[in-house]
Amino acid sequence: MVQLHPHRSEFDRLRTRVLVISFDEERWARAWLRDTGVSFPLLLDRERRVYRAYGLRRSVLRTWSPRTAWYYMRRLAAGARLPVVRGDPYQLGGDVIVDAGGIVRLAHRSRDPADRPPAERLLEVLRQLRPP
Amino acid sequence: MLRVGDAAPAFTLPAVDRPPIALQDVLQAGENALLVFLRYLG
Repeated sequence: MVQLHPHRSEFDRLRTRVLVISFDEERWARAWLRDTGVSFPLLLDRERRVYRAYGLRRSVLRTWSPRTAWYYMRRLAAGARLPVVRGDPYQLGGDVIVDAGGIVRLAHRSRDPADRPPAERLLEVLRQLRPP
Repeated sequence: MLRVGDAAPAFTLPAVDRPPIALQDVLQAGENALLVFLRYLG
């Protein structure tokens, strides 16, 4: 998520509103905004109705995959601190681009916690959208 | 399972330190939306 923030002006130029969605508690959401400096709107879906509507599921198996272990080992090696788990660690995330006509143009469901599309991939899809 | 080409499900959600946001309002303003669904906030 944080890697999208430097591209904010490009999202604006492409007439794209970035909406970040979390299922966590409001107090942790507010702390996350403060700690990360992210200024995109942070929406709260405590009951995960929107997560389910967009096909984002929980997965114990994917959360603890070798790929995930490798991701965290690399982060530790780079000096990063592992996050404190406050909520449901098995809920996977994802990225969805909806064009101004309401049609899904990209639907990326994370296969595991480390699986996110690069910012450039998201921008590439947005650049191909025609103005409404 | 939602696929490319499907109509995006509508929603309205509360936002931290802002008024609630509806996807439909964003789209009706002529904007695209990038929805970033987070995992837990560690």
